[in-house]
Amino acid sequence: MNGPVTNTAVLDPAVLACHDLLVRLAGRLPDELLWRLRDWLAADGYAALGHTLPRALLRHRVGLTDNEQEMLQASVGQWGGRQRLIDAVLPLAAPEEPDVDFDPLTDSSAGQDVIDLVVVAVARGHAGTVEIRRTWRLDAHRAQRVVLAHCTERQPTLTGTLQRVLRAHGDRTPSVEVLSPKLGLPAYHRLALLASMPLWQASHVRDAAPVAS
Amino acid sequence: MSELSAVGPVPPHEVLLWLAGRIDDDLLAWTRELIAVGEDDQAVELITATLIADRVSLPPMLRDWVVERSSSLNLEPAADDALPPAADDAPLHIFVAELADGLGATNGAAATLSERLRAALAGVAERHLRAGSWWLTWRLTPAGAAPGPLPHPVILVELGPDAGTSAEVVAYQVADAVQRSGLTASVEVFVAGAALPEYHRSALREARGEAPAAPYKDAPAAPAQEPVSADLDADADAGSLASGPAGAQHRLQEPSKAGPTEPSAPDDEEAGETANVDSESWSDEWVTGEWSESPGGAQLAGLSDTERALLAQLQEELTAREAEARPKRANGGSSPKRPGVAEPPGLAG
Repeated sequence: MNGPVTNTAVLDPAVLACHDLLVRLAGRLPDELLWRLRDWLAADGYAALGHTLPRALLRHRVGLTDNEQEMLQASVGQWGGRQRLIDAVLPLAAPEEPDVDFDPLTDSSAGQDVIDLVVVAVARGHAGTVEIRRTWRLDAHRAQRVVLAHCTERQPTLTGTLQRVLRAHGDRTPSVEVLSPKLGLPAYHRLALLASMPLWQASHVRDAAPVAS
Repeated sequence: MSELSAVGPVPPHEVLLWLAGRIDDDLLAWTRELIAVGEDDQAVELITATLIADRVSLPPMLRDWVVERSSSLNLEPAADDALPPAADDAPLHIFVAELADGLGATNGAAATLSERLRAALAGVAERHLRAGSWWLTWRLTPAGAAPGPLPHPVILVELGPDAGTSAEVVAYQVADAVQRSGLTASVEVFVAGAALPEYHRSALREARGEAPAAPYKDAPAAPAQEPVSADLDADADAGSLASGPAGAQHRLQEPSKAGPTEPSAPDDEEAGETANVDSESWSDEWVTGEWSESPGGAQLAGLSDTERALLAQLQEELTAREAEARPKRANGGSSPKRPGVAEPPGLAG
């Protein structure tokens, strides 16, 4: 189902802006809230996002860079978000270095587990999926599975689908990072990718270059 | 607008009881925690957004409550416009008293998990549950648009009339204790005698270990079971929904009288029989509405007569509409920072 990597999917610019912003909020908003915001985006719950996202940023004192503020305005600003709340979000001069640690935990898990297999089985059927990787974020008292996917089409939909798959398998706060651009990745995702293991690559990519790990 | 104002005083915890099974269990637990610590506004905000995003249809009175509270918070968009139209259909949920191997667990894992949950509850019961009872049951059906794994354990807690803590606080504290034990379970707390949604009645039917041959208010008062405190005897006489013979029921004595109390072991044989309850006998109560009972007095102690009447109206209407809708549905039951981030491997592109 995966053809050459082309950005042919037509996604509402507001939806894509919101998706990119929610990707960049990984590690900055609480997991239990962020996955819900992404789920609402996947379910076309724009009205809910328009109200909740600005308040969440304000409540958790999350600042946005100018670029991220534009994403917020381009999405939530179109979906009924109150302009006063959007304008009140704290400014951020430059992206902050995330205080997180990732580990593929390949020694203990001896490769892929059954949830990895389910994730791949679902994601490879989504048009535009190029590669899937997995890592673990080491929090204070637990390890959080983080799925990284490179996808060029309908990224919010793939995010929502994989989140619900992970929820059904017991991950209460699924962390699914569906990335489109290779360049300009937030530091959080660059750290995650460095400590990730490959789960699957599209054939046209696998044939073109060896899998890096 | 008068109708919206009328349902305003209904306590949020009551509304969350009616939302059980309609939204996912994690959101339910989260909003209960928010309400317990006084963050009602954020709870309403999350509930409203989820109901809108997931297009959850609610019974009219429940929908009116959400609209009224959202409006009072100046939430946008206007919930009345964004929520789906009211509908009386309630999600149909299936519960079992005990898990059998093969039903979400193998090689005795189900029994082990049940025992771990009971042990976790035993550890917190003395502190958090005063003169109350609790039951463990398992839900086999998903709740919400992004449900967690199944079967899902549901702990039902009935507070006696002398409980010194509000239901939402008990729900929060017990849920936290369970979570600290490394387990996941929903905690539903209600006051003895309160009218309950079908969700809880179904759960209690399985957890009790007997078929509801007659309305609970007419059930015999706890024959042939472990000793019951005087307070709970009084509950039974008053028509406690959860009173009467119990399979997996655990009763607690007043801490001041007896000190720490071990929960009684479940009667596995009796509990096992609950899986064969005649479904036709359930329908009668649905149709006749005999399950509808007026709210318990203890739960309403802080409300005015007008608020009590309005709460009773809400509960009775929801119960009646669920009962009417029943025949239409199918049976079924920190680490160091990494300096200088290098070019990551992949993603291909």
